[in-house]
Amino acid sequence: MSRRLPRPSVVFTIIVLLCLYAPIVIVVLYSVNKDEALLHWEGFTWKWYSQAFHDDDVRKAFGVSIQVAILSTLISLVIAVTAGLWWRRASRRARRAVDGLTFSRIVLPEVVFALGLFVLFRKLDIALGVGAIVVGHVVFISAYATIIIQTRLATMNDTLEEAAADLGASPWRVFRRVTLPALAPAVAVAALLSMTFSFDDVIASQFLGGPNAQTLPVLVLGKIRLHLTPEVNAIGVGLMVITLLSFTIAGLIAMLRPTGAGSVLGLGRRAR
Amino acid sequence: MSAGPTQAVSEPATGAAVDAGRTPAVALIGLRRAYGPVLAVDRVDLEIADGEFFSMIGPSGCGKTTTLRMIAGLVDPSEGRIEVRGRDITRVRAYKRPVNTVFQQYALFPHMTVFENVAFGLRERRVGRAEIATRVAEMLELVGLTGRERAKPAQLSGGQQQRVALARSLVLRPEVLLLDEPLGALDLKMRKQLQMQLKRVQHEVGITFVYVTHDQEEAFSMSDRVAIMQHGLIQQLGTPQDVYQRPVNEFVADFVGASNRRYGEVTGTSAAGYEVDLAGIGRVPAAGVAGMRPGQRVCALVRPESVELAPSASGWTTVSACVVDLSYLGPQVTCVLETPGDEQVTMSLRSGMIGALAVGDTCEIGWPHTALWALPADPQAEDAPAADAGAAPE
Amino acid sequence: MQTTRPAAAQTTPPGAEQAPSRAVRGLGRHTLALPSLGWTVLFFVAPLVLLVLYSFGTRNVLTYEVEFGWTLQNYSDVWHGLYIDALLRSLALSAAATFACLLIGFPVAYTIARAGRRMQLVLLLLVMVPFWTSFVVRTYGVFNVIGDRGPLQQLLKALGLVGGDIHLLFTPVGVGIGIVYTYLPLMILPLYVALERIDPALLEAASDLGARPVRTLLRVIVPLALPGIVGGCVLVGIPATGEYVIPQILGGGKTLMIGNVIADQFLEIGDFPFGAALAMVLTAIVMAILLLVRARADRGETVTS
Repeated sequence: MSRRLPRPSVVFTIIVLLCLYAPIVIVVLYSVNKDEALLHWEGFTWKWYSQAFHDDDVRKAFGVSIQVAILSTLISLVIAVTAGLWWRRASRRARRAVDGLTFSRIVLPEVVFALGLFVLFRKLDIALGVGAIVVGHVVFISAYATIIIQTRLATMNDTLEEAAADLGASPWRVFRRVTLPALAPAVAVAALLSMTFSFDDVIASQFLGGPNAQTLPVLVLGKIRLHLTPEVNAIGVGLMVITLLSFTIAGLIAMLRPTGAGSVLGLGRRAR
Repeated sequence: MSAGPTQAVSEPATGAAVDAGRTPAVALIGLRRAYGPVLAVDRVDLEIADGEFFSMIGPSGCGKTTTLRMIAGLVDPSEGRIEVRGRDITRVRAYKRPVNTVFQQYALFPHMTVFENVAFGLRERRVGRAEIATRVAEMLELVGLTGRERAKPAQLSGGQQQRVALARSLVLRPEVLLLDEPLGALDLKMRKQLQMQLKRVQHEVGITFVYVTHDQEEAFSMSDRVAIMQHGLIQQLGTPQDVYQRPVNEFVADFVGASNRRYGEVTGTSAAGYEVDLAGIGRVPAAGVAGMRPGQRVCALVRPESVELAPSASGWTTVSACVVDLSYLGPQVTCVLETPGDEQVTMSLRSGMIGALAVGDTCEIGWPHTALWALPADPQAEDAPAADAGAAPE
Repeated sequence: MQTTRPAAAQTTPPGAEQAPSRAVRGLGRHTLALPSLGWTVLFFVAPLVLLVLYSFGTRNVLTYEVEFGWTLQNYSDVWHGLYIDALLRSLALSAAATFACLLIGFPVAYTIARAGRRMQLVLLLLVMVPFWTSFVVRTYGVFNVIGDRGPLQQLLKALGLVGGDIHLLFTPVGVGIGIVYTYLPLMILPLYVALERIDPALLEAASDLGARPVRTLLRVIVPLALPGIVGGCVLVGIPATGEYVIPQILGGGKTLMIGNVIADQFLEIGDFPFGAALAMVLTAIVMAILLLVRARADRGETVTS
C-alpha cells in the first residue's frame, strides 16, 4: 500500500521534466522559424532544412560520421565478442585485471586519452583523419560493447552448450548454433549503441579528425562557436532524430530480448 | 474478561468485554475504509479493553489488516472515529500516535544494528543516551536477544528478527501494540514457540495487544477475545470458546473449525433450547442462536470431538452408524462413519478409546443435546454441497 | 568432429579451442583476448605511457620537438595561477553541479520511485529521452535558453526575480547550468534504482515509531539510498570534471575548465610536455576519487553482508 505522495514533489518533478525538454523544444522551434535573428516567431519554414540539406560541408560531415560510426562499430563488436568469450572461461584473477582495463577506458577523461592518441599519431607520423577517429572511438566504444556482451554471457546457461557438445557438435558448431543465436540480441544492441556513441562523439572526433575529416557534431560545434546561423538548428534536429532513433531501436530490442544492455542503456552513456 | 451471552451473540458486539465505566484502550466507532468502489472495511464498531490480548481473524481480504493500519495511522479511514483511551486520534499522524506496530515482514531497518533499531523510536523522542541504553538492554533481555545488540538484521534468523521488531515497538511503551501477522513468515515450530513467548511478554508488560492473523488456532491459543471478520464486517466477537462453540453463522462455524453439519428446520423447544428436525436424523434437541422461530431453516452442527462412541447417559442423542474409515493421528483417531440415509459423520476420539473398532463395524454413536448447535441456515450454503468434514449434502 | 580452419582467419576463433595439446589449447583460449588486449595496449595504454613520458620531458622552443628527460618543471608549472585556477574551478564547478544535480534529482527520483508501476516506466522514459538526443545539440539548446535575450532571462524578469540584465552565457554559472542540465538524468537513474528498492514498510515503521517525515528522510531514506547517491555523484562528477564540450559552447572563447586548458596546450599552444603534465594531474585526481569511492563501497559491503 503506497502512501500518497506529497503534492509538492509531484509539482517539482513536472517542472524538472519541463526544464529537461524546454531547450530541445526551442531548438526544434528555431529550426522552423523564419526569423533569421531567431528573436521572434516569424512563421513556419522548411528553408533551414533545405539549406542544411544542400550544404556541402554538412553532406561531407555526414558522410564522415557514418563512415566512422560503421567502422568503429564493426571493430568494437569483434573486440567485444572475442573479449566476452574469453572472459567467460577466464580465471577470476585474469578477469579482474581485464575488467580494470575495460573500466578505465570508460572512466578516464576522454580529453586525456584522445590527446594521448593525438600525440602518439604525431610521434609515429600517422595522418589524422577518418582512420584516426575510428581508432579513438573504438577505445571507449568497445569497452561499452564488451560490458554488454559480458553481462549477457554471465547470465547465459552453460547447459545448452554442453548439451550441444554432448550431441556431437564441434566447438565451432556449438558457437554457431547455440552461443551466437543466444548472443544475437545483445550483439544487435551493442552495435546500435556503439554506432550512437560514435555518431554522438565530439572530443575524439575533433582531436583526431584533423582539418579534412570533420564529423557532424564537430561541424555543429564549430558552427555554434564561429558562425551561428539558423541552419544549425536544422542540423541539430537531424542529429537528435538519428541518435534518438537508434537508441529507441536498441531500447526496444533490449526490452524484448535478454541482452545485458540495461545498465549501459541507462547509465553507461558516455557524455562528455 | 466476561464472555458474551451464553447463547445469543447476534446483537452488535460493541463493548461486550469492556466493564462499564472504564475507558476502553481502543474504541473504533463506525469505522469504514473504501478504495474506490471497493469497501475494504465496511463498518467496524469495536471496543478493546485495557490489557486485553485481542485478535482479529479472517480470510485474506476480510479487512482485518486495513482496520489495524487505520488504528496505526497508516491508512486514513473514509468514515468513523478511532479513540485510544478516550482520546480521538482519527486525525493524528502516525508518528504522533501512542500506538506501535509489529509489521508483517518486521520492517527492520537494514542499515542499523539491532541496538539502533530498538533505539530508533527512543531517539525520535529525544530520550537521553543513558536511558536509551538501559531501556534497550531491558527490552532485549525480555525478548531473549541480549548479546546480539551489534548484529545487523540480515545476520539474524526469522524468529530473532521478529523479536527485534517486537522489542523495537514495546520499548516505546505504547498504549496499544498492533501486530500484523507477526508470525506469518515463520515455520510452524518457530511459530508455536513464539506464540508462547508473545503471550508471556504481553502478560509481563501488561500492554493491550491487537493481533491480526488468518490462523484461528494461533489467535485462539493467545487471545482473550477474538473478532472474526469477513467482507469488511465483524461477523462475531467473543472469547475463543464462545466463537468456537456458539458460532452465529455458517461462515464463522466453518472458519473456526471442522464440524458435522445437517440442514433442517426448527420444530419447537426443548430443555437444551430448541428441537430441530434434521435430514437423516429426525427430531432432536439442540442448543442454538437465540430468537429462531419454529419452521425456520437451520443449519445444525456438532464438532467431531463432541461425538462419542457408545454413549449411554441420558441427555444424549444417539444414532447407529457404520465405520467407513479410520485414520490414526497419533494421540487422536479420526473416524468417519455412515449413518442411516448414507450421510457421513466424523468423530474424533482419543486413541485409547477406539478399542477393537474396525472399518465395517456397526456401532452406536452420539452427542450431548447441548453439543448440537443450530443457527439460521445460509440459503446459498444449503444449496451448494459443503466441503466440510463430515458434512454431507441433503 | 572436424578441425576447423585456422583461428587467426576468423573474427570468432573458438576453432582454436579444440587444438590437441594442452599448451596449444591454452594459447588458443587466450587468443580470444588478443583483439581487446591488443587494441587497449596499442591505443590506450601506449598513448598514456607516452603522455607520462612527455610530462617529464622538455620542449625544444625552436623545433617544438619534445625531448625526453626527467624534469619536474612541468608539474611545478601546474601551480601557476592560471592553471591551478582552471583546475580548482573545474573541481569546484563539477562539485557544485554534482550537488545541484543531487538536490534536483533526489525529489524527482523519489517521486518516480513512489509512483505506480506503469507511471514509473513512463517517467523514467521521459527523463531518459532528452539524454538520448545528441550531446552537442542539447548543450546548444541550453545555449539558446540562457542567452542574454533567451527564454530564461525573460522568465526571470517576468517573475520579477531579477531587476536588470544578468549574464549567464559565457560565465562559470552558465557552464554549471549546462552541466546540471546535461548530466541530470545520470543522477536520477541510480537514485531511482536505490530509492525504488526501499521497502515502503520501512517508512511506515519509521513513522509508526515516531519519526516525522523529515526525520524519516534523514535517518532511513538517505542512508538506504546512499549507494545510489554515491553512484549518481560519480556518474556526474567524474565526467563533469574533465568536461570539454560544455565549456566550449557555454563558456565562450574563455578557457574555463581544465579539459579545455589541456586541449589548448596540445592543439593551440603546442606545449606537449606541459599539456601532458596537466593531463596526468587530471587523471590522478579522477582516479583518486574513484579509488576512494571504491574503497568506501567495499568497506560498506563487508559491513552489511
